[in-house]
Amino acid sequence: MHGITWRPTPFREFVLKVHSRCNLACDYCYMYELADKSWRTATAVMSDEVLDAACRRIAAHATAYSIPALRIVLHGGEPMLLGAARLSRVAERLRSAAPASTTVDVLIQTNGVLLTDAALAALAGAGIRIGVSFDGDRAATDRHRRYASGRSSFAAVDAALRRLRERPAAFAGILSVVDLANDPVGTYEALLAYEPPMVDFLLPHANWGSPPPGSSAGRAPYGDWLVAAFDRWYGAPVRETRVRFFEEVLNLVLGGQSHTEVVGLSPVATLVVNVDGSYEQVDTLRSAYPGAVDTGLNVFGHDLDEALRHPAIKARQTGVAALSGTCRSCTLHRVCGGGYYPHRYRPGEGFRNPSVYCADLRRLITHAAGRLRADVERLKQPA
Amino acid sequence: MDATADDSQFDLIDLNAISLADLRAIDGSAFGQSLRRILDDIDRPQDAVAGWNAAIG
Repeated sequence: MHGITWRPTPFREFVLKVHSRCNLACDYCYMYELADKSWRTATAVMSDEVLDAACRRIAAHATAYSIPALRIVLHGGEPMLLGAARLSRVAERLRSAAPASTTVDVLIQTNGVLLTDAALAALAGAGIRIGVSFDGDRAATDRHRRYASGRSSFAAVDAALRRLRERPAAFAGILSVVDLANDPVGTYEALLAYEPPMVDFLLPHANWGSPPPGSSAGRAPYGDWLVAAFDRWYGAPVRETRVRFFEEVLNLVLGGQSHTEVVGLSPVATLVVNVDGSYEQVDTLRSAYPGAVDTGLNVFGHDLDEALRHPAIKARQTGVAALSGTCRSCTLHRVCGGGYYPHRYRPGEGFRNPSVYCADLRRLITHAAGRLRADVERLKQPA
Repeated sequence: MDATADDSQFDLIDLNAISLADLRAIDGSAFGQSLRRILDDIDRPQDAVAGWNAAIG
C-alpha cells in the first residue's frame, strides 16, 4: 500500500455480534463450518458493558464525522437467541446514545426459526427491520439449512416469512446462497412468493485454496446460474422485487457507484464489533483462514479512528489501488471491483488476486450489460 | 461464457444521447428502475460506500 494517497471513509455501518451461537447447523456457514473455529471459545452473549462501550464509540464517531445516517446490523450466530425483548432494548440504547442529528437504522439478519408472532410484533414495535437467510423451496433449504440434529428448518422459516409478508414495513428482505443443484428461476420464484422488498443471491464462500463446489477451469457455472435468475428478474414487465446483486451490476455498468462490497470499487465503511467487544473486519473473511478478521483492537481500549487506520481496513477503502495487476489491466474491474474480497484469497499470497469467481462475474456482467445496452439502444431509436 | 466477451473492449453504457424526459418516462421494469437510480445518483453527492454483504435491507 506504500505511496497510495488514502483519505479515510468514516464507518457508517456497524455489525454487532450480539450472540455467538446458532440454533441451526448450516453446512456452508462461514462462522462455524469454514476455516476459523474461534467461535468454540467465544463468549456466548454480548454483555451490557460491551454494548455500552460500543454505543459510546459509535456515538463519538458519528459526532466527530457528522454522520447523518448509520446502519446497525444485529447479527450472530443467531441474533434471535438474545430474544426479541432484549434486541429491542439494544436498539433503544443504540438510538439513544447516537447524536440527535444521526438517524439509526437497526436491522437483524436471522435464520427466521424464532420469528413468532410475538417476536415480530416486538421487533417491529422497536423499529427493527428483519432480513431472513433462506435458500428457496423446501428442497433447497433442506440441502444446507438444517438443525444440528438433521431436522429440516423449512416449516419454521416458511411460517416466519408468511408472517413477515403481513408486516412489509419490518421486512428487509431475503438472503439466499446459490447452490448449483437448485433451479435458478425456481429459487427466485420461491423467494418472490413471500413478497420481499429485496432479495440477494450470495455466492458460496470460497477462495483459491478452497474452490467453489462444482467449479472447474474454463467454465462459469455460477455465472450461468446467476444469468438465468437475472433474465427471469430483468424480463418481468414490472420489477417484482429488488435483487441487490443485479441492481448494483446494472448501476455500475451505467457509470454509477456500488452500495455493496460484492462488486464495484466503493470504500467499505463497515466495522464488526464482536461479542467480546473486539473490532473485526467483515467477518465473512473467516472463510479464508483463522484470524483473518482480527484487528487487535477493541471497544474498551481503542477509538474508531484507530480502527480506521488499521492496514486491513485501509486496504478496503483504496479502490483500484488494492487490486491485483491482473484485475487492474482488465477494464471489467470498474464493474466487478475485483470481486468480493474474501473470494480473492490465495493461501501463501493473500488477497491481491482476481476473485475465484472471476469467470462467473464476467459471465454475469457481460450478459447484464448486453441486455441493458440493447434496451438503451432501443430507447435511442426515433419513436 | 459469452462468445463475444472481450474484457479489453468492455465499455460502460453512455446515456448521453437520450433526453432526461425520455429517461424519466420509462416504465417500472428493472430496466426503467435502473435508469431512475442512475438519475438519482447524478442528483446526489457521489459518496457511496459499500455495505456489508451478509445482511440485507
